[in-house]
Amino acid sequence: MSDMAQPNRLPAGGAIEGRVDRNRPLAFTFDGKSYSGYAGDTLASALIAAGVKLIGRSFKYHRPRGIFSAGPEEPNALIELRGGARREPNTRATTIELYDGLEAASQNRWPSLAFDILAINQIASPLFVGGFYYKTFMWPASFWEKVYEPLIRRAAGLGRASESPDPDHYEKAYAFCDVLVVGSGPAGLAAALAAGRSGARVILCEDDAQLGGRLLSERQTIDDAPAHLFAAAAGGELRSLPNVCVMSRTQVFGAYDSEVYGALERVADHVTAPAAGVPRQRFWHIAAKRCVNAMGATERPIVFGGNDRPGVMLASAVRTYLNRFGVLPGRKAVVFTTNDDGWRTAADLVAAGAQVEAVVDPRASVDENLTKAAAAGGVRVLLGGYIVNVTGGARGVTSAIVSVAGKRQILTADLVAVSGGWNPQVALTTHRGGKPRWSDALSTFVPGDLPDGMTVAGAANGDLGLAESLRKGSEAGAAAAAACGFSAAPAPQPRAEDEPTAVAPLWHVAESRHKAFVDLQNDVTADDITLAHAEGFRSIEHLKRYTTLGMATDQGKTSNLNGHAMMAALTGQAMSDVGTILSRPPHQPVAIGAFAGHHRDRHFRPTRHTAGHAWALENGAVMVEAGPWLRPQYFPRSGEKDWLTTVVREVRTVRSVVGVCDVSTLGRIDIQGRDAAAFLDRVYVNTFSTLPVGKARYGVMLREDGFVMDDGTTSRFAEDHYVMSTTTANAAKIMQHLEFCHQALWPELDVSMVSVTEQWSQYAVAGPKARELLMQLYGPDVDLSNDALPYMGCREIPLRGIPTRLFRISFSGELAYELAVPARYGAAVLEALMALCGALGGCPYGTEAQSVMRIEKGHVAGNELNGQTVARDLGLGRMMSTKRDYIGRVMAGRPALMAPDRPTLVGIRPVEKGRRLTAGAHILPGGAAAVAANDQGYVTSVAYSPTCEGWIGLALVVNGPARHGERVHAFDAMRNNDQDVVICSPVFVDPEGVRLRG
Amino acid sequence: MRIPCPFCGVRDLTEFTYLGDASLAQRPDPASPDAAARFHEYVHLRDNPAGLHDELWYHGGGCRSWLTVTRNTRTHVIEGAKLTRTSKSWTATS
Amino acid sequence: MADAALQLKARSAFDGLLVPGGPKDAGIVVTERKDLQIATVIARSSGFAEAIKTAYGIALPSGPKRIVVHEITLLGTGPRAWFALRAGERPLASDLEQSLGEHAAVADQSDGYGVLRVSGAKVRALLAKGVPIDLHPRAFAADDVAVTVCSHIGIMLWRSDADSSFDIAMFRSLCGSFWSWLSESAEEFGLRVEAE
Repeated sequence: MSDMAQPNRLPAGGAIEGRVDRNRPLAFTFDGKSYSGYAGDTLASALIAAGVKLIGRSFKYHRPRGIFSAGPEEPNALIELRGGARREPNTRATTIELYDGLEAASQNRWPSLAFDILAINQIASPLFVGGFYYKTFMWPASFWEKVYEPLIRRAAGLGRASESPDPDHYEKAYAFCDVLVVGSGPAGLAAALAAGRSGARVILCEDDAQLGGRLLSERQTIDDAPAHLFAAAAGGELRSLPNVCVMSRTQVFGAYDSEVYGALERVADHVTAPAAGVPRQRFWHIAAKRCVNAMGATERPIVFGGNDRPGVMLASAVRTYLNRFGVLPGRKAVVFTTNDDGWRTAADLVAAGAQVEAVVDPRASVDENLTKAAAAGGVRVLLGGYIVNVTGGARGVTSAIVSVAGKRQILTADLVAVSGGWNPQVALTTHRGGKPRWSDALSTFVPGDLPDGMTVAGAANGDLGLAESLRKGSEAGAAAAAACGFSAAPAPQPRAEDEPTAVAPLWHVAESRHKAFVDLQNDVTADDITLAHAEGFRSIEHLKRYTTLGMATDQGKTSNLNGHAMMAALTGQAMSDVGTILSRPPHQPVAIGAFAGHHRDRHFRPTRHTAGHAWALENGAVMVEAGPWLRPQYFPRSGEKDWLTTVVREVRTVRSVVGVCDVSTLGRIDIQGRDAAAFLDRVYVNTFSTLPVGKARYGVMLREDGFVMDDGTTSRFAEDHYVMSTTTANAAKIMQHLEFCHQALWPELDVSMVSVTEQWSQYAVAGPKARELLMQLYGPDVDLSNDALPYMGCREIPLRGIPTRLFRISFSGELAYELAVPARYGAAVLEALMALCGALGGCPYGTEAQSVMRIEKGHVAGNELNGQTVARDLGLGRMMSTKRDYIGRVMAGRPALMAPDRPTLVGIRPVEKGRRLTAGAHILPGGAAAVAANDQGYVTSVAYSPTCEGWIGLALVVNGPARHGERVHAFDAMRNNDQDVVICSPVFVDPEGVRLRG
Repeated sequence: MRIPCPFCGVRDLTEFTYLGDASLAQRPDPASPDAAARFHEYVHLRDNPAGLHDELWYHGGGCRSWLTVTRNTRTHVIEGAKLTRTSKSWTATS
Repeated sequence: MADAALQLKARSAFDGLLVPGGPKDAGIVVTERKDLQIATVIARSSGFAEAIKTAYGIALPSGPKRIVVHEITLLGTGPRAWFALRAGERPLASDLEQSLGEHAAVADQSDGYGVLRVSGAKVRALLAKGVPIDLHPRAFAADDVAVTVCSHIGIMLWRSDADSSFDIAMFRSLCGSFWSWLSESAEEFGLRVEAE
């Protein structure tokens, strides 16, 4: 690797050389051009090493932007990572670990990064001031779609998402611990060591690939050795403890109720593609008894003219690039700092061999040691000074214009390092409603009320000194472990110094006359804040919405405080009164895919299969979702031109011969107990205590508000033993309801219930030859005559040694049975049934044919049990017991629900023979205008009836039963299917029920 | 959010279904002369306190018990949870 | 149709899903427990505890605990509910009904559930991807039982005798979805399916 390729890489063996692995060079491309870096680099450090300054174009003005930070707070260096289906927009170059073959591209530029046509937006910038969306594009209205929107979409929008499905998978996982430590800087490491040594179960999460936090970026010492060695040793010890789990590349992004934390582990983001079986990312749900929040702090920039130019960089980031990565972000630097910490950048730059033109500090006086050290390094000290403007262009900074006591001077520079102080990462302390507290000493917000179980240590709590961070971290870790019942002998504190950290507040250099950016990512300028104030958008929440300050991927990590402080200056408020923006998780961007985990595509939710599923597929069934189940919808045969042809054939076969339908998905609840009968009498409108053993009865249940909840058939197998069936869709809901009735309302009843849905496979056998088929199945010894098993009878009958239950019930209106067999035999019995059925000329049928036949019989189903109907509406009013109370009885007696003119179940037929009906059409009196006042009900279900040879429907119509024979209008403007229909009985087939009793 | 189920231990929210105000376990006497008014109140009217609230949750993803959970509606802190089935009840293992 | 031709073939819950094989050093080993008789038992009266004691000579522990008595494994699944399992052909539900009489409601569920034994060095890492409860040995002891969910699927989970071996029962209809979750989640650890 030559210096030519990495001109800004510090030489190995120098005073500052960084800690990348120079034995492992890595190749990568940026905008198609090849570069090289080393293992241990981030994309940002490798680009700096390669001398690339221009990384992207800004959001609104398309101004050239470079690398501003060295961490997740990066507002500028957003790039598209990878290509093809794995292309990911708006990733931060400062957090991307370099890997061999990495592809990255700049974004928000056209046609190229260096020559970007929309940079003209800078000239048109008055158009793009705060609130520009609301002002600029309001007129003429017709311009919006054709002109303004396409313009905005091209101009803004940052990166492009891949349009192909994500080829990688994501996982969710759960973790539990006594102590969660967030962050592995000095405080986090000390906390994890203290807690880990006590024996408590500890999880340490670190966003970076390496443990150490700022220890990796500073030239500090701990126990007289370089601080990064302490981090490595601590990491080694922690990893050796069986009770400690160290999770690097894992960012804790949210604190949730009941001490649950959300974390994202980037399992395979640092490689080209995940290995087989390895997810790209894993979403962790961590339940922690205690949490030590040691997330550290983010350095705050200062707002001044030209502060967005490539080469203006956070002072601490400069140190990171020098000390950790061994790259030199500039050769001639000016440091602009309001605090002691920033002076260290000057010292480190000098140590790395760079020229530091000056340290500009607005304070009138600073610690003598700082000025002495600067002077020793040949650095000018400009106290009481400000940078008012930075000049430069796409190639970066060329000079800084400094004002000291009203006098301006131009300093040639290619790097401006900026520090306005440090903002503790308070986000995790606020997600559950905690309000940060203003600290005058630090000129920033520090954690205020803490959520249950959390303590904050180190820079995250405003303790910026190294020795203090180590001590406070250790104390917090030990206390957290002690709260979980673990204690350890106190260990000696590592030796370290507290460096000076004094700071004076400075948000904005008011003298600046050039464009000065508050929010680099959203191109919000100092003028925008003034404008928002002038136009009345003064609360910080309004300021955010009006100017977009603090929005998008960085959520204002480097901009909010400055913007809010500037507004506070305009309104004359104290910062403690201004407060902070409400912050919600996630603290950093999290891919939706990570939230979904395994539950994507066909795994969106679990699917339930009956024992007959494989048979149905083998026999060509088209499947349909019924709640969580898959059911055969119909069984097309070759030559059938559409689904209707198939369904008509299936219906005709059942009505004339026999058919078999898998009804295993119906809910079945086993109900036992001395009070089982009494219990059923209280949950059904009709009476089950009078049901003889060996009989089944149709029942209707109401909700307590009087509306119908569900229906089904319940059978009695013994005095104290019933089996209830529910609709497929409501099975779980009914179980929950029955448990509520028992546990909450009537715990004194001796009744118990358990779902046996899964124990049984159940098949409807329907049609004139149903009995014949079942006699063949059971053999000659079993009597299935009308006397032995009459309509609505049920019996337990062994079939070749297996117990089965046979119910003489009919949904189709034909002679029909439902045969229940233990599920392990479900497939075999279905195969046997179908062999016999086929030999008799019968066929399998699906949910469509079932639905046609129930409409022909006027049986209600989901379309009628729609939560808006009472039993009377469905013609079931006579079932309602008048002798006793049941759930829903009192409320069903409300006058409006008893009103005779409620829409009530009827059948309808089209006047024009052969015309198709549509469900959802509204019923109007003949000739009446189609207005809501004339609405008399609606069509709930329709079907083509092979039996009636035409379309039929069920409808709920005002005074319906009294109107059989009346011609009304079915209004369906939505599907352009207005037509006249005739009201009739809802029972189209065999109204006397001769067939089902046959 | 996590709920301390008296039977199963502390469990994640996803195992539970919310029903509402614990007053729903106090079904009015259907035979009372003002049953209509009392049922109207029972079905439709709810207090909405800012602070401690007794409410019914169903542990359908666990032991299938109905629980009466005391939750602080301001902070989501769960103060406690007990089986809704208490009156006239007995335990199977004592 | 002749009786002989109609010998009805039983299919286990994971029939067609589990194919024996896989690497020797797999981090996850899965076996279907096919031979189980299963019943749910719900106590109906305060006489239940006494009836258990009379029939089996033990006091049932309260809470979600596992106890094995007369080859019957009883899992506490609710305040008055147990899940009972016994290996072999001998019908369990009817035995329990006989022993407990009117003190319990017993339902045969031998066909209603699929049961997997999942073991291996990585079993806890695997289960962490779906099970929202703490299975660390400090939190989930050898006789602990949990009724919970895994990847949105309701399960019953208990330790079998070995430290890193768990039995998991779920509704039969959900075995396919459960298996797709398990097999995908176990891929990174290596997965071996063994016949019982």
